[in-house]
Amino acid sequence: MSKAGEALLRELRSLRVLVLHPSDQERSELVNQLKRIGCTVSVEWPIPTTIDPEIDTIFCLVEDASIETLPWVRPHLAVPVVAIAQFEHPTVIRSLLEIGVTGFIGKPIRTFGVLTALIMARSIHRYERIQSAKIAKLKESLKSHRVIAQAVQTLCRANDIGEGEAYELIRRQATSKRLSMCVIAESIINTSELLTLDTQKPANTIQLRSAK
Amino acid sequence: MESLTVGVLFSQRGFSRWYGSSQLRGTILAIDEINLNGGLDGRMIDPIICDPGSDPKQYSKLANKLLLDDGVSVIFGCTTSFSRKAVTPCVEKRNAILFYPTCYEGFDYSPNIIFTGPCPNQLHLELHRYLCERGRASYYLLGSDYVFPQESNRVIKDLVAQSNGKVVRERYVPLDCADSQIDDIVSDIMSTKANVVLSTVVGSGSTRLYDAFHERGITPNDIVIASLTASELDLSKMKHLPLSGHVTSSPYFASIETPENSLFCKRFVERFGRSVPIDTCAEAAYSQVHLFANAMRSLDGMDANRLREEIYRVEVNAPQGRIKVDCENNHTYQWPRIGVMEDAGTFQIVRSPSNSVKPDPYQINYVDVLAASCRPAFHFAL
Repeated sequence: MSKAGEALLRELRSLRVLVLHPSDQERSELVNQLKRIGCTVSVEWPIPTTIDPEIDTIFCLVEDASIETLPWVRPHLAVPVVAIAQFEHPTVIRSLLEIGVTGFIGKPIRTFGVLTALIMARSIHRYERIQSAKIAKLKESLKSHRVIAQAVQTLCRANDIGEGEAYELIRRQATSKRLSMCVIAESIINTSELLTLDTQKPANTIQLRSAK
Repeated sequence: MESLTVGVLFSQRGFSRWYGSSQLRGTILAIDEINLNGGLDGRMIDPIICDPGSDPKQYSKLANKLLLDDGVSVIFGCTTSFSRKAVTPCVEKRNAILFYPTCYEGFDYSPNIIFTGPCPNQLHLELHRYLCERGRASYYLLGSDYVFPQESNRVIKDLVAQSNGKVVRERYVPLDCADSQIDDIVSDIMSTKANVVLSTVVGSGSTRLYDAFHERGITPNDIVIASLTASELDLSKMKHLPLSGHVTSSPYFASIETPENSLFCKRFVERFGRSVPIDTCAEAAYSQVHLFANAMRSLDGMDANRLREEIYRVEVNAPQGRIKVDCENNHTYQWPRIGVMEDAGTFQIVRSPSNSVKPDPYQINYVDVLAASCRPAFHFAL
């Protein structure tokens, strides 16, 4: 088994789980099962507008679309949520998708399946968070590549040097000033734009930027 | 006279027949005992005994027949997790109660099942501790190919890794494996540096393992077979008496020296004869009927909800020791012991707890358990 999967199992007994469900027999069943699994469990109802930041996972009854507007649900869930649902009509399903729940159990609540739902919800939520972080990083790096390439072109033209030399120039500047190459590249482009404001080749600059 | 009809579902055919037959004997013995003593305030226990032949479909079919046609609301039965899972929806739907007496891998709970066998925190942990103290750290994991051995080995691998031991191999044999398959495995074991075979092989494969060791002259000093399942039942089926020194972890051995166990063994022999082995399967099946009986004494009907509440309140002076059901998880407090096989074909008990151990069927992380384990709770009976 992967290290990540193993960790998901091992952390079970240190989890703080919040159950958002009216007080009844079913809620006791769920709370008792979570305790058997070894989680620390708290309960609340009605659904609160804020969630204790210590909470690791939420089991939440979803009855209608009203949950979508809650501050801890928007813009995206900070903690994994396992939805508890009694109906499968499109309003509820749309709500589940809208909120971005990563686990599900049906009503009436049975003890079997709670453990798997809990782990799946945590696994998918973590995977999504890791993927989003990776994508954000990639976007950033893509943008900086574009900016650096443009700065290299600017330097080449201005100083009549080769691309390799221009790139090395930016790199050295970044190292000595302890800034990222992207920041140096941006300032080169900005400066160049300022200096060429009144010259006859602004169109060329624009063309270069959009071409890259 | 008024009677209390109950269902009994143990297989006397198929791969779990050895264990099922023993569980049936324990059940019958307890019912006879209660009825001879005048029943439960005059109400006799009337068992309807069915043989599902180790087939999960038959378990489900017969459980429904017992619940719907015969109108029982209590079933004593099931040997494997497959059979328990087959009966679970039946008892949940009818709000009946299944008393399940077999050791299993944990991770199950139903308000309609009372688990009276040990789960891994009451079985595996003790065996690993014992082996650790004996300096046995090179494990060959061998099991029958089903859920209990697989999950057992997950737990054992965890424990072994924590104690700086190592697992040299993990192998599974089919439930109805041929002797030759075990013989091949024994050759493989000898080709490794293992000094312990952790066995969860059940049925004839288990007895063949001990016989093969005997025939090849492998002594427990060289390689010890440490089992989570081998019992007096296995001993009685072996061709040779095993070389003494192989160990088993179990809450019950027939050699326990207590008045309760002496009486149990005496009655067992009177009922079934001296040649029939008395093992942990029989003991758990016997004790759970007494658990039911003790709970029923203060009830006038067989309503499952009231019965369950009453079960939480009563205790039984079982042959293994005083037991009770934990209301948090429907599993039972157990007395983990280590027995060493002797030339005489019995177990010498080398470790007994001073207190019963609370069941923790959802224990997933044995790393913490090992760190927090409290040694002084145990003493050597040697």
